[in-house]
Amino acid sequence: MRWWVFLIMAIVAVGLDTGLVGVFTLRGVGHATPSVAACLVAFIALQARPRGALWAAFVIGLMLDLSPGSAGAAGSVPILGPRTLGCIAAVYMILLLRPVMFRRRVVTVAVIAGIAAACIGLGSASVETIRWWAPWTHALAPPPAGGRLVTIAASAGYTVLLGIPIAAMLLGTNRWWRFAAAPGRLDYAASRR
Amino acid sequence: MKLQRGGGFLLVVLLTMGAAMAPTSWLGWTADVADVVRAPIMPLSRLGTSIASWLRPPRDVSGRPVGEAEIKQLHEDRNRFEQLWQAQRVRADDLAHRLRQLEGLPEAAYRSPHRPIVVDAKVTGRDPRDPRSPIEMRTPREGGDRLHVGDIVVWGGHRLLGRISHVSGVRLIVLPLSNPESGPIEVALAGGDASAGLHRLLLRQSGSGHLAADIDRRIPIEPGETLVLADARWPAWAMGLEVATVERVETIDAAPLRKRLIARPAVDAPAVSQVAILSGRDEAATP
Repeated sequence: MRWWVFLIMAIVAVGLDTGLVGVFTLRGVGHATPSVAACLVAFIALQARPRGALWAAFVIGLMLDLSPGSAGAAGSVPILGPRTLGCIAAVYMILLLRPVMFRRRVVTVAVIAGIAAACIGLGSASVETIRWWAPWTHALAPPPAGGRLVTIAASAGYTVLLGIPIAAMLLGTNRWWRFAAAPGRLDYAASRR
Repeated sequence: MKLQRGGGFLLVVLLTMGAAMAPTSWLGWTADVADVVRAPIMPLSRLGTSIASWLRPPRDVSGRPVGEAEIKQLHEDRNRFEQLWQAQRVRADDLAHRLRQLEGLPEAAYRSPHRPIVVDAKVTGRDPRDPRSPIEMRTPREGGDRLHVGDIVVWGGHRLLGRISHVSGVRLIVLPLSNPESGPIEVALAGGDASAGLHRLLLRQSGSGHLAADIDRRIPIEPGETLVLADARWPAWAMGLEVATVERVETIDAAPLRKRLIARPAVDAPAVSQVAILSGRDEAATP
């Protein structure tokens, strides 16, 4: 994988996630918002070699944790980990699933992006909850779990919808990335085209 | 060799987990790292925020789109605040004169040496998923050096968004009123019968981004009424800024003599793109 291509794409994805995607926010459904970064995580996890995909997830998660507006429980102090761990969990899950998938299909990337968005949301919620329970962190109370789960589920579903055009665009850039061939149904899917 | 590489990643994951669980006081360094990481992201985020605000302007509490000519509105607001300040100054001078006559104290004791300054700032990022999330702004070139932690951020001239919680050379962080870290806030009911006196309430943050208060059930309050700032911990010149609008009033089964008021913040925080900052200090006050 070409890491400079990855860095540019990651900056664009995180920049869009903290700015433009606000257009798509559903304020009536717990501020459900699709995630471009989740689409990128899913795309890389489906195409790249496992180790590269895990490191890419770590970098994207770190950027999400440190991105504008994501300061955690301390107001102006960003908390490292909530989304980083969510991204790593998402990639790990996708790596388990991808041998049985047609990885160069737009629909596959979009659906997997929804799973990635759910993992990132759940990871973030889990860390916030654990921080709240831990007596040494002095963290603030997280939002009610029910509403948070609805938001995560709605955001994941919404990411699948947004993921269709984004997956098409990302698959169009496949040759820039120079992904090495990885085991799975990739070659079979390519041959069907 | 393979094990060592995998071990390296495992170590990084464990360190990340440690950082995620660390006390907040140990994580002060992450703000500096964030400044570096955000440098390439902020221009894109700012552009996206502007486009998002243009395509989907913030709504005021009545649901009316108010995104047209937002910058022009801010300039008008600045002029209006200047006029209001002058009016208050004249009034304060008059009151000081009367008080001096009453108590024989020097005139200077009744005049504040500080005048509020107004600085425009652009939002560079926020989490649109969470109405309670801190809002980040680029530190304005003009007047940015006069801003301090605790300065007041307003939108639409008289609607209170929150207070500044962090100031650096490149960015500001604003805690909206709906963020639990802002703490409880004392407000007064703007309407109602003036002869009965002002009804004061203590608003608390709820998890959903709303504000709530348990009040005496005899206080007449209806949905749609406006709550204004009346908190002695805030600067005196900020009193009367619009804080929230009553959305609904609920009964409390466990406490029949009280009722619960749910209010929506006066500013649609996740959607604003540009705000004004009111600071109570100026050059004259700076040593």
